[in-house]
Amino acid sequence: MHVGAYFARRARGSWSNSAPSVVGGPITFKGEGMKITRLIALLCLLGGVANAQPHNNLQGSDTLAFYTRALINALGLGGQLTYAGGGSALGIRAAITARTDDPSQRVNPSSRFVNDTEIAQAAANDLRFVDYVLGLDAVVIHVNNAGNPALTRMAFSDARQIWQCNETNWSQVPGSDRTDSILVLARDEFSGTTDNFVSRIGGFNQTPPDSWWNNYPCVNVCRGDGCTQIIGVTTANIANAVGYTGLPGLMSGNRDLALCNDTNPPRTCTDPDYVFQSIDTIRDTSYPLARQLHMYHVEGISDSFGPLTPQSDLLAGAMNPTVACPILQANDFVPVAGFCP
Amino acid sequence: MKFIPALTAAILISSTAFASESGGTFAVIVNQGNHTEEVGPGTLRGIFGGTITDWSGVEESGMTGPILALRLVDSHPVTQAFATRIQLAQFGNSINVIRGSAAPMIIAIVIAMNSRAIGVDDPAALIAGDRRVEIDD
Repeated sequence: MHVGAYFARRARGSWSNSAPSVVGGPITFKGEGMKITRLIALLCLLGGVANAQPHNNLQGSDTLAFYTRALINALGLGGQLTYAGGGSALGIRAAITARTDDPSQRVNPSSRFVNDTEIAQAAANDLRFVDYVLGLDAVVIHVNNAGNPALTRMAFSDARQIWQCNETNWSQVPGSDRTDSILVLARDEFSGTTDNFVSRIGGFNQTPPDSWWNNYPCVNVCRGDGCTQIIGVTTANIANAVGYTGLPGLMSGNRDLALCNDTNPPRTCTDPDYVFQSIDTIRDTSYPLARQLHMYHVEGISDSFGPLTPQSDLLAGAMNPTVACPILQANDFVPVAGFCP
Repeated sequence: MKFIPALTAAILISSTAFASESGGTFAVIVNQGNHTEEVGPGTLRGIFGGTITDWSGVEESGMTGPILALRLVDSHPVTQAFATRIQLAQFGNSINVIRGSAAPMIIAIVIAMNSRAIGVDDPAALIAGDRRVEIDD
């Protein structure tokens, strides 16, 4: 599926604005305005409630670790809220069990969409996810700038061969003039960035769920909230390295590649099919690995269960351009069109 | 974070690697710009247990700013030797874990490039830009 169609199906119209949208469960809202009104009302009601919960240590996207921590600091929530990260999958898991956990995580930053299994698991607990798109990002494949000068682009089929360890020498990779082994880097299995990467490139054996990269022994895997920087530093300094991260992994010494999605017919790439990431190609999704960044929260399907302060304050902060826009910019994320002045 | 240009130095061979009863050897390493000479096992337990996350909590460093901590996987002899040596029951979730055949080299490079990094690594992987920290009992 073309990434544009993917977003259109899953994002339910939130690509060009920042209104939250329900994901899974019965859709009972009458329209976007109603959703916003209901959410604002909820936030207003809860905003003044004293925090009676234990200290909140949130799990979620490592890509969004610096963003979320900066948001916590900007909102003055540092005494009540900390962000552990760990990967989008862990934040989603925590939200699914929000009704029974203490403390309860009801807001989860994620660099990928919740999937159908997670939606069903939440529904079994009488919960549904509400999606707020906090900004846009791109998964970028990067190589050493000086060490791989001839390589400027890559088709998904070649990326698949590299990360599945079928192409282990640069001489096998079209466009590269290197002839030595490939040092392959990846984020771990809980990472939303990894989920975006492998689900769109396709063909990966993702069992067992928590350690499936072991099926591909050439891959060096990083787990933790510093991995975007760690992988970026490695490709910036090792001539034969290749890795993927969000945009903050790009730095002096490495360089991202133009990408072509040849997974779907016609399964070939001509020159115009290779697209570099840019604000425009991320917003119009012509860049094959453009993605949305999410601040999900869970709410009750049959009752008023939802985020409490300070988590509701975090959610409100992500929706406030005055607070969020400088943080998006500092993290090199792309604001949704019309969100930032 | 400030990164310096590409590495040119050769691998340095350790002469003072720590050894443990489990037979593994390890080195606690920081960036050469970090002036920490010695650190106690309690502080290391705090860093790698995830309770000390800022250099301001490491008095010996004279630094401030978030700590970027790295290690190898639980099953690696280096990790086991280190955990035994400082009596660390469990690593913190905030510690970055690298797995794979190039993991020791990756840790060494990242630390050499990042003044706020600290890691536990194979002593043979150290490069110019890394500096070993002694454990002060």
